[in-house]
Amino acid sequence: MKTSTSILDNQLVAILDKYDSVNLPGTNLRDRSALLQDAPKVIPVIGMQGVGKSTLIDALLGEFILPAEADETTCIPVEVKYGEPRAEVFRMGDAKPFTTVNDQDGLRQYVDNNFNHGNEKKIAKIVLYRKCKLLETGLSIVDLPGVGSLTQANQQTTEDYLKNCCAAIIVIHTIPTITKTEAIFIKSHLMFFGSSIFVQNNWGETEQELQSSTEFNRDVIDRISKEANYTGDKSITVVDADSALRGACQKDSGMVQSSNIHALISKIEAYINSWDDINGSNIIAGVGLAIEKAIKTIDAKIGEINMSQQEARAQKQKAINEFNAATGSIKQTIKDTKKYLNTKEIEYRQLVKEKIDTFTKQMQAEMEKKINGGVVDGDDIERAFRDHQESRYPDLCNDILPHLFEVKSKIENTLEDVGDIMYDDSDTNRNVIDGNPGTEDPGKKGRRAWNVAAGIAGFAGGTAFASTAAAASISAALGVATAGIGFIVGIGISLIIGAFGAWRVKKKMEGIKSKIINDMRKLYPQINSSLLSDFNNRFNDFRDNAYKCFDAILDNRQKEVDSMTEHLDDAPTSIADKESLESDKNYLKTKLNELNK
Amino acid sequence: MIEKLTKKLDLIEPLVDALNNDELTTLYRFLCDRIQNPDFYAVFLGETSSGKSSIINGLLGKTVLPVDARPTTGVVTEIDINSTDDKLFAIDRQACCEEISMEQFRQFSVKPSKDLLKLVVHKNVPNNCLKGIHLFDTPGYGAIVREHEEVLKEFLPNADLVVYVVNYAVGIQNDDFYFLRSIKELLRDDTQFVLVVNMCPPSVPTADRRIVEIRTTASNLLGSDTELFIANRITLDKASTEHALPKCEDLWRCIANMLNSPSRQQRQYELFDSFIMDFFERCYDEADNRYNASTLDDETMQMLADEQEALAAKIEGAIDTLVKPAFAELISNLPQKIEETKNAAYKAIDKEIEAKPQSANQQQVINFTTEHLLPHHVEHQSKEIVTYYIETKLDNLNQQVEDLINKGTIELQKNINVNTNPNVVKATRQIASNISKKVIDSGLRNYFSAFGGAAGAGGGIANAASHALKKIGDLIGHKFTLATHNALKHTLSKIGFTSSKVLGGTAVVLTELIFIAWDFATWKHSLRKDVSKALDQWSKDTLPPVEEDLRKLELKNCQTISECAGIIRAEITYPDGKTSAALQKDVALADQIRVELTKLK
Repeated sequence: MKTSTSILDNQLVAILDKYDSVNLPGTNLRDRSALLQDAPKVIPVIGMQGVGKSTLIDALLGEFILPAEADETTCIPVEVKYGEPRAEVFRMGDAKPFTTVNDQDGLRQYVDNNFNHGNEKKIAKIVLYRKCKLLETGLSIVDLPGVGSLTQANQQTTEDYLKNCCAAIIVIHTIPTITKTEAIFIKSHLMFFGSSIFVQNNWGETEQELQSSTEFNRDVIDRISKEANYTGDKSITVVDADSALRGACQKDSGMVQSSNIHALISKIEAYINSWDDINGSNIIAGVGLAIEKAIKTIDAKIGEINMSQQEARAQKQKAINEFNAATGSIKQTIKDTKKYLNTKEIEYRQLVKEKIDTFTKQMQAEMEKKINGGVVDGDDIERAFRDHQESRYPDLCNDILPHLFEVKSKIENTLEDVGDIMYDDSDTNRNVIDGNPGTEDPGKKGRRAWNVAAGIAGFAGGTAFASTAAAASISAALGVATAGIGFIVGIGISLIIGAFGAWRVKKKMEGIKSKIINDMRKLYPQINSSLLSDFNNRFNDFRDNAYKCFDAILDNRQKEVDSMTEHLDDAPTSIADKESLESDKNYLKTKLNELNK
Repeated sequence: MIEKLTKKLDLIEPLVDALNNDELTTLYRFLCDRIQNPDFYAVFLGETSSGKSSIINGLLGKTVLPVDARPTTGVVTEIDINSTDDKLFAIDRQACCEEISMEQFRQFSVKPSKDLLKLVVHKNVPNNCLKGIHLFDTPGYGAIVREHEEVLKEFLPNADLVVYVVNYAVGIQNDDFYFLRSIKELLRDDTQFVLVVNMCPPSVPTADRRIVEIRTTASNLLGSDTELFIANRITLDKASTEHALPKCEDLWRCIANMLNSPSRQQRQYELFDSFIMDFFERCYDEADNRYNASTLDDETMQMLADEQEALAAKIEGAIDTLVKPAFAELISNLPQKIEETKNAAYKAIDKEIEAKPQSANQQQVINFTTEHLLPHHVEHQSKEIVTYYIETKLDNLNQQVEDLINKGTIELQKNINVNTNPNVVKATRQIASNISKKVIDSGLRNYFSAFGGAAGAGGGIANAASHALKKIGDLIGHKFTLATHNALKHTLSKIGFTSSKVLGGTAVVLTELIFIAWDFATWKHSLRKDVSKALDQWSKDTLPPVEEDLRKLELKNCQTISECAGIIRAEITYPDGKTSAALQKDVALADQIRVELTKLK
């Protein structure tokens, strides 16, 4: 990051802007660089409920602060960052905290389900400040709602955190080993977010248990990584969070040492550094591309000297033609992708409809069997309904998410292809920026795609791109953050809760069964349609944002060609300008060499 | 459509003749026969005494299958109504087929020995429009003994149509519920499903509440709407010794329509077309290999043979180095995984019971426990822990075997490139590449298929592979399919079935207690104790069948690997007396046929 800031000095910014008045690449890059510098670095801690996320965060902080023993937490995101020790509680829709608490008991009032049933206090998030060394770098660790507990209410908060996510800590048990639902949950995360740190919580299992469990968990992670196309770090860090925490509180350094918490801390630090590197190299790649473009423009201008008006015009016309040809290829690429998206959308909707129909039908059959078997108490029905949904919903997601993933990959590829076309005509210095000639740098295409999307003037999605690490940028910009982080359960539950009042059975069971069955039959179509619109909306968001991004690209191309046309009949560069052009070019070249180092 | 297929077969015939290879000739004849006489498998399922046999008798116009008030069909019975003769057979597990008398037939049907695999009825039903159909009568799910249940489950993937029969008066029962809920996993995607409500009162309307309920529940369990047929109860004279013969004309007409529907014809056409093309490729490779081999000297041939042997041995080695250890580990960890499942389920159930107020309605708590808590948590946790464990381990094994085979074939090609005399390099390479292709096409796919559709794991490839295998299976006959189709998927869904079935028993443990009045102060404690007892019973009943299924799967995997090694060994082709020039002509013929086949597309 430091490199990119120092390289973008005022002179470079001015020169870059001077030769591209449409995109103002100098200002644009400097703004983006500043944005990245200030952007919070977020590491969410995710995992199944009861896997020990809170204990792990406590262990990282070295104190008992997050209530970990709560039977059921309310699934409010808790963000931990550097500052004078306190905790600010935010209500939904409020920008300012409505109260501040100072200890575990205070926190419990909001995050423990016994004190804040079903989040009736409408808390959006809690920000906890601690003076902990790990957080000094500007890192925020966030305890995110896990699988099955993400509701529509906390979806937005969750999504906001994910936009700045540099890596996620995924917590798993030693025993039981990764379960099916858990595997689906982790897979969906890997599909959309990349960088992950796997932490296996060890609660005093034996050496042998630990070994065989870790081996199995590794198998699972290998398997789902392959399915999710995840190429990041797959190693598992085994941590005894409980010992780490108790050791820290009892000032027993041996205990802390043997808990392996330090290994995790170093890993987190490494990720933060590499996140800076990734962002820095994205910006640097962008600077390199902008410099190449500017040099090309300067060369053309220098070439005009000694040309007649007509010759200069012909040269400019030629450049316009080339530009238009490239735009033509970009249009074709986008058109192909749109066509693909259209076909895919039909397939997707069809699939989603079928899967959800089956889902609700089977839910109905299960529920009716239970009611006929004498489960008639409202609370019991609600529990059965919830259990059934939590058990089957992950499978539903598992069937549907790969299709969204495919679409995401396609859009990513399109942006890469567009990047190829856009920058192909300036490959003189390409290798200087993108690594040694001949060796394929896998990050190169991604960096270029990132710059394509982030660099579009006036495209709102660009902000999302600019403030996000490369791996997750496309997911975040396309608005499917939550597709990867958890399953939005809860659809239908609110419907069904409302209906229970009438079903509290005190005396006779006869007759009540068919009444309940009939009442509930009105609910299934509603559940079906809310699920349907939820899944369809995810696709729509994807598509709409991709379309917006594509439109912005083409719009920008149009503006550029308009500007070129406008200057078609300008007088050729006069010899008097030569010196200033040469001097700009020399400066750009110096900078390019600097980048190369 | 048949004409087009026949035309293709005709085109290939000269090549088959020229190759004069027994295996290819047999396959060719088999393929021709299959295309002329496609089969259609309709399987009748349903609870004991729902009247499956009666409905089939109705079609036969005569009480051939034994029917009685008590359960009479104890074994899977195949009925071929397009036979030229009227005969009865018994087939045992060693595939021995014996003609039997009517008396024996009835005796075997009611009380089958464990060694009996199935009974077969050959019957000539004149003027029927159900050409190529094979009907399968089955024992009621609840009444099936373990051995016959296996037969049924292994057979189900071959079904083109399932006719599910429910007795009007009985409705959908527990066994129906579990069976219908998981049956889809045992069936192919294109298997059709119809529901028959049997023994309805005369002239009952389709809008009858009972019928609507049965249909709704069945459709919901299957996750899709199902076609419904009504069979009326036939009242016979009280003194009659005859049995009722329900007509069910609608049902048979519907089945006939399914048989002849354009979509099915199209599917059949596509399937056969791909068989033919696969077969042609095999012939092509054979011709190509023969010619190439004829251009090689003895030394090169020997080198090739050595390389092949080395590869075959390496692949066979996977049985001892990979498959057996993996299964040994799986089987030894199984009790622990079941224990974990049991504990997780207990913990969840215990939490719920604990949360109930002391004054809760005991009856309702018991209902909730037997109807929801027990089945849900046991099922959910088995899926999460046991099934997922097995699936992951086997998927991993699959990957290792795949890597080994891939590496082996690459090495084979490399060695051949290094060790071959430059003059004959092209021919040798070609043979080597044909060998590799074959291993990957059949051997590997074969192996893959064992994992077909394993709950999403590499679903695409695995499903494609399982489809491909189904094709190979069909070429050699249903027997082959029976042995290899979707073994893992099978095992996993069988585990599901087993758990569900065992669950039925578990619930009984509790239901018996409903009638005991518990002491107000201690009822929670008592209930918890009984839940624990029921879970112990569940784990005890679940372990043996799952273990057995895993052992079977292990055996199947070992066989598949041996077959794969066999394919590699068998590939050594020496010219059979023909001159090199003549063999080259065969290749030219094959090339020409390829051109003709492409034109037909």
